[in-house]
Amino acid sequence: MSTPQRSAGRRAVKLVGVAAAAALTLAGCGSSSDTGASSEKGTVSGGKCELKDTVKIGAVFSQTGPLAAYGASQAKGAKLAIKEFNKEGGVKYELAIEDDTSQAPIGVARFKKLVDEKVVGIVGPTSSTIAFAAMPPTNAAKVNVVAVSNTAPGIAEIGDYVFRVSLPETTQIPAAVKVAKAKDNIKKVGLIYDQSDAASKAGHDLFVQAFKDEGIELVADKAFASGDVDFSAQLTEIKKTHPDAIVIASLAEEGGPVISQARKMGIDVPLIGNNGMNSPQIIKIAGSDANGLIVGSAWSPSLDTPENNAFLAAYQAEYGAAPDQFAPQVYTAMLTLKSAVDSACSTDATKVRDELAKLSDFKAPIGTFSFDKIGDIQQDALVLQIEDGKYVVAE
Amino acid sequence: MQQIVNGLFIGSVYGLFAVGYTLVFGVLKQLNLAHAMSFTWGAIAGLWTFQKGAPLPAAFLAAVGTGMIIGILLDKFIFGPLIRRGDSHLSGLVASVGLSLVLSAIALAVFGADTERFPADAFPDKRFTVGGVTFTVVQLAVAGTAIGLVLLLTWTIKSTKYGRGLRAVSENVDAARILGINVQRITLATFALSSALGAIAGMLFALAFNVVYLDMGADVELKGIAAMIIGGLGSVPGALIGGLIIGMAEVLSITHISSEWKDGITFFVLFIVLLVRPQGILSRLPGREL
Repeated sequence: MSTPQRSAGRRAVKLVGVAAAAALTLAGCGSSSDTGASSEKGTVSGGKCELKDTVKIGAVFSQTGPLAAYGASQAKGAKLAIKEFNKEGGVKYELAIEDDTSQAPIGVARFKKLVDEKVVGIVGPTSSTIAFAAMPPTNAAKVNVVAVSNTAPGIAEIGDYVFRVSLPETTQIPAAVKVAKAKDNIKKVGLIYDQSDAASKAGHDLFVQAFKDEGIELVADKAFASGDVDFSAQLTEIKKTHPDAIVIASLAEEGGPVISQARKMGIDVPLIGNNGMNSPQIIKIAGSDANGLIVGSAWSPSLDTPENNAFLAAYQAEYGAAPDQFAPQVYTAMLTLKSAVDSACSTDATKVRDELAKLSDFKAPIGTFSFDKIGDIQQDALVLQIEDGKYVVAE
Repeated sequence: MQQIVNGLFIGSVYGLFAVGYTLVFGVLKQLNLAHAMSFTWGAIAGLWTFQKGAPLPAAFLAAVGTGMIIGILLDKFIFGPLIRRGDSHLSGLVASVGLSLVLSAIALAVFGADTERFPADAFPDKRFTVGGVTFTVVQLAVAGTAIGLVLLLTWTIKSTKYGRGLRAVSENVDAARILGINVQRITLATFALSSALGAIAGMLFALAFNVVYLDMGADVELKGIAAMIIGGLGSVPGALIGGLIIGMAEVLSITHISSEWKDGITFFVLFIVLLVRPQGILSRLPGREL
């Protein structure tokens, strides 16, 4: 049984009340013509928007708990973005950042808090599971949300005020499977996935579909739950079927140990992973065992564009380390909000929303992309592979 | 066959953990619900010592020391005073839950809510295959340590002065006291020993799966209690057998049913054992009410 779920269960009793109250209040707001954010109309002078007050951007990430590996990186991306925005002059920005402790009920409460603080938009949350709980009431309160790492299907569909800059796995997974098949001549695969995590479960379904499309046979399909630490039973079953590759749909906290345990058992075939497996945490946990892992990705440090190079330099200067994909995704989300506020020259959430919806061929650290009519990102997927402890573009 | 080895491997850790419960229960007829905290703290102390650059045996000593301190705290501040007041079984149980909450809060404050691991590639990655079954060095060491300790403990109880004293106290406290046995010292030693075993189990679990986290004790707590009951309350070899049975049940339910049913099947096994043999597998005593 999973630890975070259990403690979430305990707290859920208390928080269900809070969440329900939040949902009711927000639903009430949604029916009136009010917007959640206070609106201020600024003045445009010399082509640059000027606003009297500082614009507050909210962010909710899982900075503690099992998702902390992603959330910590996201928080760094958000803080860096605000710092860079304020260097440029013009509109002043500030960041209100919250920790959802990797738990959905807390996430709902943190989103509600930011809505009450009248932020112009919220960046986050870290996991799709939390997004499905926290976004509907926020959308009903007419506060913009830019999703940064939720790759499960159905996020942008939540409502008009929900946007997403993370490339969904519907694009990433088929791309990764195609590259892996060509590279290693894969005919049959064994799949292991986290059935208690929304994004991993969705990743599993997309893998199954991609195998069907590519004519790859699925010889073993085994599940575990978030918080499990022993995967030997599942891996033994998979090993018996002699697959050409092991496919893992999981977050890093479980996915890393799955790789180490598979290698320890003598399973030496190539590895393919979903978005959760695209994290430096995998390399930290599994070490050299992770070499060869193929994943679809929304971003790579080897992406050679002026926006990405500028971001990489700023990140290196600020933190003295190289970022993973989560920091540039957050940076990009913050950029979309800034761009929308600047062109609307207003903090009115609906005006900002309309500007967000218009973004097209937007240049950001993660590349050039547009929002489609439901607010989802339109972009091609990169396929990466771990070589000598680093994610590099797979050839 | 490989699956049976997998089950025996995790089961040996559950078994060692359950031995800690059964020792205290055998002597005091008390359930110590702070035992899971020895498990967590043993792993935390071991990890910290290892991270400071100390060798693995030193990490084990740190785990044992931490466990013994928790055991002494339990005896001096929780069970001891309550027993002297003519405790009913319930107040010790409730007070041990209290200590467990305190220790858990301290762990949250000093260790944090994040999962920590030993550095990747920290241990020899050797493995060998016998008759189609693969073992790793770490697996063999973990299962060997757990089973070895239980056998050593069984011998200690049977053949040493402490063991004879322990059995006398377990049989009848007043009679033991009349015979000149220092009951308080036996009780203190039993708590220290029980918690040290729990801490070693935690350390072995951390090594086996390369994971240390705050709620790791809570995750094995019920399995340990179930192992003790299946094996027979107060029986040391019984606790080990109970642990092995639970390990097997877990693995077989993952392979034959679904991982979602893992915990359900474990307790279904407990249910069946209680129906067929209410006193547990190895207990000579009639079934006792908790």
